[in-house]
Amino acid sequence: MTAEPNRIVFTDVSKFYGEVLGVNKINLKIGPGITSLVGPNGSGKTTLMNLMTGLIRPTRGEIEVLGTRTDAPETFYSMVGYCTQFDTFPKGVTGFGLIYSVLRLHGRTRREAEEQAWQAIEQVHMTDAAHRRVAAYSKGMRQRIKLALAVAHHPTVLVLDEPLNGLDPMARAESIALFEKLAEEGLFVIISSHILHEVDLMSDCVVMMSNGYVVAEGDIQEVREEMSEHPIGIRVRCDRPALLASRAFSENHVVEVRIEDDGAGVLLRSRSVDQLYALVNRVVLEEALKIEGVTPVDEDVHSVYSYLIGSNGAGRL
Amino acid sequence: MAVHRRGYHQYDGPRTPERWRFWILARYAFRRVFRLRLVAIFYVICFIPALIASSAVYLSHNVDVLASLFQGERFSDAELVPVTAEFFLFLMTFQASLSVFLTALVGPGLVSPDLTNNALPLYFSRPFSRVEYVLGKFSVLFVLLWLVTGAPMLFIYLLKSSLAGWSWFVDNLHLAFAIVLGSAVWVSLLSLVALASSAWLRWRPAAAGMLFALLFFPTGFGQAANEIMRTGWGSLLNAIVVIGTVWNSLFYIDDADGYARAARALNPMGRVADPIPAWTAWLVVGTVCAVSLLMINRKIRAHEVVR
Repeated sequence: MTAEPNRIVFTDVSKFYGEVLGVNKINLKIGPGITSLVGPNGSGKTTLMNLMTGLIRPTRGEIEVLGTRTDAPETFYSMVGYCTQFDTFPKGVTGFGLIYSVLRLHGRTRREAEEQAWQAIEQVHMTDAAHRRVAAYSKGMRQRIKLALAVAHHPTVLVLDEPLNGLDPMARAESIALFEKLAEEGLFVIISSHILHEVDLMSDCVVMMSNGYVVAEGDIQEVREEMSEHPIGIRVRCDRPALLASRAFSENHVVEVRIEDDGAGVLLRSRSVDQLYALVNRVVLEEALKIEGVTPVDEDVHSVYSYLIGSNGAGRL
Repeated sequence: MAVHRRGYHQYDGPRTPERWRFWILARYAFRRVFRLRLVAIFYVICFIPALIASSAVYLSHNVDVLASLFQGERFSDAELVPVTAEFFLFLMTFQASLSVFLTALVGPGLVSPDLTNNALPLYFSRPFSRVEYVLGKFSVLFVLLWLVTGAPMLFIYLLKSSLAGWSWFVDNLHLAFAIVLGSAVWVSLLSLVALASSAWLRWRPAAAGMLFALLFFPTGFGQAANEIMRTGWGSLLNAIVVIGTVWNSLFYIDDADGYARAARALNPMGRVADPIPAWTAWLVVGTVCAVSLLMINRKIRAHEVVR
């Protein structure tokens, strides 16, 4: 395996817990920006994150995070910040005390630890509650303090397991804005989430998992385009949907045409996204249609997830 | 394709040395331990016997002080409290007994709360290894227990040396060695057993009970084996006899005598079984420490597998 200093690289990684499969034959390269891990419960997301953060070792294969292996803890953990899915706090600790002591474990001096702890706490808007016990925090506050814990030591790779769980809409929006800001600055932000529309909004790349396997990975539009057995659909809002529908029927690649109930739009499905958009362009130019909007109907994470993984969580790629 | 401006820089400033990071964990644990009033009070009580012993040693060299305290009484010139190997062995046995109770108060609260609160990934997703974690927790008990066992006796040794002179210090250097090593062996054994109990039993009272059970249940079996089979090998299960034999070997006290004293203390009415060789006692101590470490190793994991 050649070291890639700008990628998180999984090479043929498998992890078994005795006879139980965690993840199997994972080959993955993750770049900077926000990468979301999506999959049903038990699909191997947390195992993949634990492997990435060196908490468990692969049964087979190798993992390198920005060219560093997990067996060099001092270098490795200065690069990686991990926000676990479950609350993992020692008893009786305060928010500030937790971050301060963890920064001390990272080798910061007292003064640095104090400064960086306050910076992280301010980043997640927890200044007022910093000296309260974590056990007395609400679910949302605990999530935010975990996030502060992950970013406090200024890592380059942030691994966040279900970081939006339990947050109210305002806190969610703030957290997503923070992830986007960090990703824009060049961090590798790896997030696992069940909230697909939020994944859709913030992700540069999506890794879909099912039963311990990666079933799809990459930019969501690219993934969607590769799913030839599921025709791509677009909704066109225009002044003469019937005309567009009749022209679409004459094309071989179009598999479904449906006028919408209000009569002001048409849903088109085709096996070829390029040909479909070319058709719409042609009709608009030739017939001088007035277009209000053209929107893809199933180019989002939710659709891709349901096509690939389905409601029962079984991968079907 | 997102465009990344790379305005962010990972921390690349200086770091504190790695070899002492385990102490961070210990420092926080000390603070938490002494927040419990019961522990703080008992800890102070643990020093009382050593304080009485040091006062006795001091007074035995300052008879004039005693005479001024008890006017009219006459004190002989002979040493009131002879500071010998037996003196230290007696004191060590007493302090060691107190240290068991102290361990039962402190030990269960060291590992089990981290396991109950699933806090281990918090430590191990930092530059902090399992060895450092165990070392951090171990050092809490080791320091606390050594301060009530080895440290007071070493203080008495130095006090006696200052009163009796340099020649006493040199002639009895083996006592200092026995105090340091003997207490370190006992404290290490106790600490490892306590950490193993705390790692395996998450309910604190159960972990404390387990500590006593591990110390005293095998003792009963050993005694029964000795009585029924008319042998002495059952004493290998007797914690008091085993550690007593180890200490005897360190203090150069005749094994048979030391063993008989320990056996009579445990069971005054019973038959005094044959003594066990010192090397077997050392072997038992080593085995118990190794087994405890294996038990700790099994439980201290970065993640939990939900089956």
